[in-house]
Amino acid sequence: MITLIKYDLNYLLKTKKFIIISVVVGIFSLLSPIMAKYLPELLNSLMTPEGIQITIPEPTVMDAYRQYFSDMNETILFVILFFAISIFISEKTKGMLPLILSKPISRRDYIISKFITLIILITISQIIGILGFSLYTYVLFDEIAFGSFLLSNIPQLLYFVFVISICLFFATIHKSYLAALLSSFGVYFVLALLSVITVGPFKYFPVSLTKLFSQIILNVADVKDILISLAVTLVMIIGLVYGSIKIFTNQEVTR
Amino acid sequence: MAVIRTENLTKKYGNFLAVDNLNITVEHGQVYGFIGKNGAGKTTTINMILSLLKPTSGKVFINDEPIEFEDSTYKSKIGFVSDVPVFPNYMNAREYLTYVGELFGIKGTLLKERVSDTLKFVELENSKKLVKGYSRGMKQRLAIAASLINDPEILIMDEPTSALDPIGRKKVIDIIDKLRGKKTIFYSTHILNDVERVCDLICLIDEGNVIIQDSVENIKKSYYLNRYLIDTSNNEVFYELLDNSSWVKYLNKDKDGLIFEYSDENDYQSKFLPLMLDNNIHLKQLMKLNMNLEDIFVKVVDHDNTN
Repeated sequence: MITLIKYDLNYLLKTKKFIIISVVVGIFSLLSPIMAKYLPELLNSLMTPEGIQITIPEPTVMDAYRQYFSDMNETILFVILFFAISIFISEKTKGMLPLILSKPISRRDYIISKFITLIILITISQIIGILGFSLYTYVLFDEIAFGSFLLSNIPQLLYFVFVISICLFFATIHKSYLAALLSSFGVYFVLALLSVITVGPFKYFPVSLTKLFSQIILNVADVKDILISLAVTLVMIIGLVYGSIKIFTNQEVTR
Repeated sequence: MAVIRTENLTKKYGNFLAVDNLNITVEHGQVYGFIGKNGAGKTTTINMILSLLKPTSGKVFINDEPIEFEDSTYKSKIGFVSDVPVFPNYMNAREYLTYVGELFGIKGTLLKERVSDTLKFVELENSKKLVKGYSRGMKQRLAIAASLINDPEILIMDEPTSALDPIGRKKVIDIIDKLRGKKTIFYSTHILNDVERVCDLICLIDEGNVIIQDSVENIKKSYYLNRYLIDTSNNEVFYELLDNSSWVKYLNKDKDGLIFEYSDENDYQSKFLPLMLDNNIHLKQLMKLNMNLEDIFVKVVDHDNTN
């Protein structure tokens, strides 16, 4: 399995995919505090009619956190979706999979190695994002609750892993990139719609992880709720990966 | 010992029977030509041997051990070359072979030696460029190098020369020839000149069934005894005469005369010359035809389809 992970990481490095993801995450993490700090001022100067005085509250570090997590959950998540499916399905669509599976490689190891590679990619990208954001936020706002911010990234990371597992599942089922992409988007879209429901079991659905950051940073989080949400997401991830392995181990591969 | 054996191997796609109760045996050290026209079931059979496809029924045995779809350990004994090999574009030959070697669990100095040896064997040792810049022939030779990196006992080649020009083809056939006796080679193709040159035993399949399984020499002997080319003073008249003779089972006009095949040797010997003499036909040339494997292939498959 280590050989497969090494090969996949090498592929990400040589095809610049690793750098692209890291740079995109890095840029957004730097832009988040800048946008939080200067966007209200900019909008005010552009939109306020002459003679009317509008008082805009001074941006706080909380606005920077909000901006960061908003960027992560919208733009970055879409980038991850596109990249993850591409990485999972490329060997199938390019006809390399039969050659790989003609070697003594366990199909379970193949799936797990792809999944681990993506987690490594996203974790490193997120660390870059955390460092970039923390540095710029400290420069612009003179404060950063680094420990709480770091902690609030853990549910975020788990949510990304959940999205990756959806991509893995559909990339395993489908033979084409587009079909896998549309299916993953479909599920992601339904989950996003379900996020408006905050009662009953829906309260603990994976999307809830993306809303925990403010509670964690302000130290007002209900630990029990967080743990249940984390556990539910973890179970869903395990289910999706297990399903992918089960499907792949019984799947016929055509040349 | 049978290195590869199939027992009633069958693959169905809905109502379409791709492989039909296939029973083949490949012995140790043989170069086994697995031939058939496009769609005959060759690739499907190979895919089942490699556990890429599940048999609908029947079994595949490697070294007399039945293989299971989920099991991949037996593949450490196998090297595989596909018809149009695909490579990671960002790698050069050495990097690719190192990667494939690592997939087989080969490491360190042994891996470096194997990479160098196999590159030398396929005459790619001096190539430094990325694989995406390779010609088809070079890619196919690299695929062969990759299939040899684990020093496999069995080499499975699925139409390795089908997409190559004559020079590329010759190089690949030369490589197979060099491997003769060192590996058991399961060589699938529809290019019959290649088969005649390198294979010890051939198996002709059509519509998923074995039509012939024998050595090239035996097959040629069986299928080639009675066909002649004849040129006479009046081919038009002699064509009519032969056409009305019950002992002639095949007759055709050719630019050099007439081609005929007799069904009964006694009749041929007793009636052929009198037929010419009685009708005042003069013989210019009579030549026994040496059919090649391709003729046999067409004959057998056509006959099979007609029936």
